[in-house]
Amino acid sequence: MPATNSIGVYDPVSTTIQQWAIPTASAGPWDLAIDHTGKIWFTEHYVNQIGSFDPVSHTFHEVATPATNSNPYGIAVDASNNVWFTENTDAVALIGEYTTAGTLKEYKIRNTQTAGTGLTPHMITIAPNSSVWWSEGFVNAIGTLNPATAQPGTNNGVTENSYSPSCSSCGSHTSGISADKQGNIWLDDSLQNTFGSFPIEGGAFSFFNSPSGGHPHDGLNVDSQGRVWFDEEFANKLAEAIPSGASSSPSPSPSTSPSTSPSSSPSSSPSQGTTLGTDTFQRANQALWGKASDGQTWGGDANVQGSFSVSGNAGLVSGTGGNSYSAVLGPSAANAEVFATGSLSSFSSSNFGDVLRWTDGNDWYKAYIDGADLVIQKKVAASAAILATVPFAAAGGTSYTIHFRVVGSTLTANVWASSGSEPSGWMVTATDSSLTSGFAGMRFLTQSGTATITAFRANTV
Amino acid sequence: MGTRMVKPVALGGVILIVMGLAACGSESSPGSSATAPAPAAPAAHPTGTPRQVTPKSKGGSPGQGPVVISNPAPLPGGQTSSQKVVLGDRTVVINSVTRHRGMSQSSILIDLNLVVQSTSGNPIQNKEKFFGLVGPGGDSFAYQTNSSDNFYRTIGAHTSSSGMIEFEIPAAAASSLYLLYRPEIAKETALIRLKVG
Repeated sequence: MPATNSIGVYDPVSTTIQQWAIPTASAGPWDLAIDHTGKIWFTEHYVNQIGSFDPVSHTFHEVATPATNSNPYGIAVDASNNVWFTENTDAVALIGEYTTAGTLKEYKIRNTQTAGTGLTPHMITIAPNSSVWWSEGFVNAIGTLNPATAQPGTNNGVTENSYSPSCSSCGSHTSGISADKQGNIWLDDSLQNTFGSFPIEGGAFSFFNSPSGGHPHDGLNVDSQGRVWFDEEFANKLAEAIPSGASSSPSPSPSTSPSTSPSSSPSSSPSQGTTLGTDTFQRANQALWGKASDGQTWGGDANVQGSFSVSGNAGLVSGTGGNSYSAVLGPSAANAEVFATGSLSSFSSSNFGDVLRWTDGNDWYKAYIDGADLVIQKKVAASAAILATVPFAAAGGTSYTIHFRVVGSTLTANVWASSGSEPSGWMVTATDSSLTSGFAGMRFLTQSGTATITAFRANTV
Repeated sequence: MGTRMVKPVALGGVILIVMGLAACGSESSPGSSATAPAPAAPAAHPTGTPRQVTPKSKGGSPGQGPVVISNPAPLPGGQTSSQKVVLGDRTVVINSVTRHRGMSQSSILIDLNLVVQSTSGNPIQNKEKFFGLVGPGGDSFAYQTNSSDNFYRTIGAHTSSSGMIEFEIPAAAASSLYLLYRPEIAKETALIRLKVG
């Protein structure tokens, strides 16, 4: 019970309820499962923990996952009494196993970046053949892990089976999941208002409309007689589906073939001396930065935030207020450098500069000018720190070129008035090993002013 | 179960029976079917109107859940998405919540402009991991794509830190969002309904 942060038991005969407070405050007890010794296992969704409760001794035991914000969601117990659970946040997206020996193992669903993908592993169940199955939230899929081939820290033994939602504008949220004894995994999709099945041995999804269209959600279970029960959350109803016998299989509407997501390995970094991206901004005026002159599309905030535009054959960034926005171009690289040329209308509480090893707005190295200094800064896990500073007076409206390079753990930068030439040697140097690779680009804090960028080039070194 | 059979519906090879229930939407153990006995013939379905039961307490005591703010009030003169959350040693002011197009068609960006103020005589922490979004399906989203560069830091006594933080979430999750704020003091955890402007 998340609201009261407790585990409770309801006796339907005496209609009494008893509850016990969970040791960690505001833990968000979410889903629960009972193991073969009668112990109650539950996820603590608001923290990175699972817990157990012994109903005999009335004692709790809590286990933390390594990842912060893992937000454990569904939980199930297998035939060997191991506890399986999902780590829900898409930036984490793991399957956890807490073994009977008290070891926490974690399995990747994908080898690729999952943050921002909507892969939110949700409810979890164990099939009669001991395979582990889970619903995947917003990516219209269910996943399965073969424990016989699984290896912690990898996605070995994982297969994702996706379907095409019939309503393209409704969104999709694969929620409840349960296994029957006839070889099927049953699932529901709360946003599609459908429920359906998928053969454990592989094949096609079969889907049916939820009778009330009332948001079939997490509470899907198959009972001992093979009946499928699921909640219709917004209709205040419970639905029961009785599959016909083996002689008459359900008529699906619609049916889709599964597609298995490839387990792609990260692409290799470009070789030394390769151009990562260039932009001269010689194109028609437009909102956002669009495509660079080398044909690549700008990333980061450059094609999202309205502060970005192209005007007068220059890339503009205007009125960011107190926020900082990034523009990145080209593939990821480890050792790279950026040359960017541009001006800032005013340096009042404003700055602009180059970024390297950028993965998002919270993780990067940056070399910038703020009117008084040339600064090398890092931001790792949203926490920013100044690495090195050298005085450099810059004036609003004057064009400067900033050259920023990172090789290994050495970061170096130069800046000069664009009408002049680059200084010999490096003006500022720093050492840091927090980030090892990422994208190249620029980052801007303009307050009410405007940054005007006339040239950008990035290459590996 | 105190249920009533309302409408059996044949759908292909599947028969659907929708049953009224006094309260549903609760979650149950998804793993329970794995050890169920072999299938048998369906039992007769109970009939009758649902019966609402108010359970009596048999003892025990509840724990401390988060502060839940379901109906936030806008700040005077502020945007409709603004609100102020007063906690034990700090206040969290949400000046605005806006949504933007995401990096892909299936995602959106949620920007929160915040002020976190220490209201006690002690410094407080302000960290990325304190903030998360909870979607209508119960999913949590902790991935922040951006933040103001000096927002996350230690906040001195009676001072504040202001800035923007940005989450990328699935577009389908944006209909009813809560901010889960869980600072270093667990009892100050708050679940705050967001009005996205």
